[in-house]
Amino acid sequence: MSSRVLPEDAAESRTRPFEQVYRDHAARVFRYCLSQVSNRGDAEDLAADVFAAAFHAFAGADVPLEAEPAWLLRIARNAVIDHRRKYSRRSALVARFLGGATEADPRVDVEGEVVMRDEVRQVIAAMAHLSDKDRTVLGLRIAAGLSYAEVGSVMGLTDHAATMACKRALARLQRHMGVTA
Amino acid sequence: MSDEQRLQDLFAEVDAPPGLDRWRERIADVHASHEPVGPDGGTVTELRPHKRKTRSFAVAAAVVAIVGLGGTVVMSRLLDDAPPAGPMIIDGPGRSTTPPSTTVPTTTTTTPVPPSSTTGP
Repeated sequence: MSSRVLPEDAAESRTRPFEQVYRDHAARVFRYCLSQVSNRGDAEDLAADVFAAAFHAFAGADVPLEAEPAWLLRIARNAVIDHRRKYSRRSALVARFLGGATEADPRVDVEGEVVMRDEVRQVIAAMAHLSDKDRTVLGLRIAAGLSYAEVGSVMGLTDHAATMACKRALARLQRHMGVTA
Repeated sequence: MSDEQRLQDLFAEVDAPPGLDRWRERIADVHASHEPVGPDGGTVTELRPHKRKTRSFAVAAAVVAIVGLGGTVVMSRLLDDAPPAGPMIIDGPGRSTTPPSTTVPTTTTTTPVPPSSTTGP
């Protein structure tokens, strides 16, 4: 039977039910996925996959409260890498047999984005033109709202390297959006 | 306000869609526990993953199988009294399967031959 722990308890981070983890970080994980795949339906699917995988890993992971965002986003990053790999393989097959443009061309599913502001759509569309690393770094920093230290933790970088990577990626994003710094 | 902060605020307006709850359907072995909460007697459903014990059982079974197989092989080797490989002399050196050595010994030990003297004293 699960134990209910008061927030004041120091051991809260060890015994938080997964349901609470999901409620606290669902939006963050979804935003990150959306920034990476540029398609609301795919982002929903991907984020659901992330939470299903996190649910299974949660029991043995013993994740402290403060490390939950980085832990979840690391799972999300791996899920996105898998998604991209499958996507590029499938689009290469389609291109080989059908010819013409590949599915890997960065496109945004504009039709399904009625609830999203135009500015967000433009940012996501511009991010689709960046390299995978820039896109990941910006997704973690801007879409998921992680700190530089957390971005470094997910990416396997030092705090300083993560900070520099974020700033450079942001400058490239602004160039794509036609914004002068 | 910095550009980074402005972009973060833009993304913060995007809410998680209700479809995200599909992760619950993708979990096969959900253990749901219902607990009464508060004086109103309401219940809360808490999802907790089962502890996975199957892996340890599988590892133990694999170890037992490998050790058993290895032990069987070693014991069969030990108990097996097969004849040693190699030529066998059946009926003396003349009928051995290996041809008798025809090489002439090349020992050059010379015995001192006393000089033959035909002339006697």
